[in-house]
Amino acid sequence: MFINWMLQEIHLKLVYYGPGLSGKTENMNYIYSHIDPALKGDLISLKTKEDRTIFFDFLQLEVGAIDGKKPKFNLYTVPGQVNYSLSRKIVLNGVDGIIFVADSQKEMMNANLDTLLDLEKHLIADGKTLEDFPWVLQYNKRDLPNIVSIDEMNEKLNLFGVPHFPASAVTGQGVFPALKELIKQVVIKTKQQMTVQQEKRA
Amino acid sequence: MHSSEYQRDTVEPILSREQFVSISDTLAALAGKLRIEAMLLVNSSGRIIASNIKTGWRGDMTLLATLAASSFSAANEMGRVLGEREHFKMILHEGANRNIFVSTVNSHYFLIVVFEKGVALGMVRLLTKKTIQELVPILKLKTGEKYPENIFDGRFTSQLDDELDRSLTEFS
Ligand SMILES: Nc1nc2c(ncn2[C@@H]2O[C@H](COP(=O)(O)OP(=O)(O)OP(=O)(O)O)[C@@H](O)[C@H]2O)c(=O)[nH]1
Ligand SMILES: [Mg+2]
Repeated sequence: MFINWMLQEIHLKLVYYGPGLSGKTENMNYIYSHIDPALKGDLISLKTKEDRTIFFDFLQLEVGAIDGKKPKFNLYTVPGQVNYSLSRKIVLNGVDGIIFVADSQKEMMNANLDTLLDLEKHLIADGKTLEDFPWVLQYNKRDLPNIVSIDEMNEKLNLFGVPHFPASAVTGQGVFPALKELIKQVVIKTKQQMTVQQEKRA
Repeated sequence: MHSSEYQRDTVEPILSREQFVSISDTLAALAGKLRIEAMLLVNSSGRIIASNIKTGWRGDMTLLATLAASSFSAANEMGRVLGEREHFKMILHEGANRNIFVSTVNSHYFLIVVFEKGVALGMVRLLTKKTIQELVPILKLKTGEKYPENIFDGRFTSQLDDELDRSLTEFS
């Protein structure tokens, strides 16, 4: 979290993480094209000619001021392809919360789990863990046939019982709800941290 | 759910109002000496701390800061791949009409300077270096500034929830 006291802005960095082609960029596209235009900045996508993310997508959202403080949400996606681990590490710098976009298709279950472990590895290197860090699970591509049941996905991926959302980034199902819930989770955790800090000082 | 001790640094060091003012003054002094289009002090994750913009400049500062932060990180990773021990001191992007000069201030911050082709790079480097020398001690000051206890108090969070419900949804 970053607070600019001069401008009274509160910034949160929220990252879409998940295996290649799971729909991270599509989430961002959906948000960009469906949110109130007054609340969004430009969408930038650093991608290959084939539309695969090579570094990240970025979109800043802002909602109305609360008590004079302006919340701003910096949304990023990472590149899911295995080779781009270093790019993922860079994008995770300063992250406040993660939406893990899992691909619901049967043949993608191993890739989902591998990527979740890859995320945990990056978090640990940064002194965080999946157990303590604010994150939510989005089970994407529910509009396709040949998908795994929600129960089974929870069993395989939802190791710490975080909020989960059946979704389709194409139809928009579960896109805004997952983002909203993540922000709430981040606020709850940050509040706890601040309390801990204050108790330490006292 | 519990919050663990090692996560406390998630909240970045806080700069006081006085620090902001000194930083802005320092940037303004540089802007007075150099014909620059834009100058941004940015933290390592791409958030803008302070800026000084030529009137009429129409670039998107948020995007510029985000992209500069990531290309700077990428340059540092390139350095690591090559076995460099230190962070890169600066990177330069040369465009047809303008240049972007990014230099490290310390491990948390860097400075972005956008200037027209006509301005001598040597001059930019020289004066930027001097500015950074002034910024380093300002950024270091221990100010004892604290987060207000109540930044996320019950009232704030319930208003935020309402605001999120209102805003983060399909627009019609
Ligand atoms: N049917 C369906 N297709 C989807 C869904 N989400 C994404 N796709 C499609 O899947 C393909 C990959 O989506 P992207 O959003 O580019 O995937 P990504 O996760 O950003 O992939 P990388 O950038 O390589 O990490 C695109 O053709 C999308 O249109 C979904 O919910 N349902
Ligand atoms: Mg992508």
